[in-house]
Amino acid sequence: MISEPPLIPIWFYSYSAVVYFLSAIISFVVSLFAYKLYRKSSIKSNLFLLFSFLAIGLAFSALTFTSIYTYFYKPYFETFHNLTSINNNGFNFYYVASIMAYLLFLVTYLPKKLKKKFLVLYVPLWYIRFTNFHIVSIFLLAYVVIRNIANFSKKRNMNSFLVMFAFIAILAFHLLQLLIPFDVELYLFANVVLTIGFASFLTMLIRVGVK
Amino acid sequence: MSDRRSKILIFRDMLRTIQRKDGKAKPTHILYGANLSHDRLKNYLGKLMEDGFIEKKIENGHSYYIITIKGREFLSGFKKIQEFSEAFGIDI
Repeated sequence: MISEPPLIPIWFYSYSAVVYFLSAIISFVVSLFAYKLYRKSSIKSNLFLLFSFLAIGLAFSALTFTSIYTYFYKPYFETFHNLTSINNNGFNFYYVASIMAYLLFLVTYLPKKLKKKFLVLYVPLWYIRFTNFHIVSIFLLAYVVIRNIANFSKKRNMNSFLVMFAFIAILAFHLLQLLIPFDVELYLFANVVLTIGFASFLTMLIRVGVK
Repeated sequence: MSDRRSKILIFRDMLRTIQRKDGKAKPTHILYGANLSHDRLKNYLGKLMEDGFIEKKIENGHSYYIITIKGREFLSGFKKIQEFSEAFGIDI
């Protein structure tokens, strides 16, 4: 019997665990910062950002856990179809939490008139499959990216550039994930892009916080 | 984008006016400094006092508003709120 080769080299899970862990930590820090500003300002959009980054942080925490789990229990993963329920649940949680986060980002950037109509967050469950999840994420993030490009064109400052760049990087991460079936090495590249994106958020936060 | 100032910007303008007057200003100064109508001034002064950003004092029959430490902290932190919101393209 010919066993199927693993999709992603097992050693890479140790690297992705670090990337996801850093992304989760940065998301929690941005969320905390948004919370502090919301307490001071009562600006509702900061509340949306708070929950968006909290959801992303939780999503990447789940991925960190599954990556570590996969790395240490590699015999179970040597055959592609032999995924365990812990790994599946981890990824499903990541899918749901990420989509929630992106929907909240979308609400943050929707015009006020539409925002009022967007009272209930409808989270369709059909996306809980690798390809569908990334396609939905790309569509949701595309609007957020367009709004951030418009914001940067208007403000022309480093902070708005860093936020725009970070959202573009997250969008690129999802695009690259879709291309993995064509080249497994793109998984590595996707994670590098994700790291740069979250580093961009962190840089913006340091710039704002230090002043 | 709306031209109306948000509540937080009005609070900033009021507190900034008081701070510029060495931390102690008459209601008329705040009214002109923050460009408010009398009714709105009364309403917002009440809110600022309620939140502990200012205190009312009466000296020689005249009432003054004094900025508190919390009010000063709000003003110094306002730049962060503004920069963070601007980075994300959020109107404040």
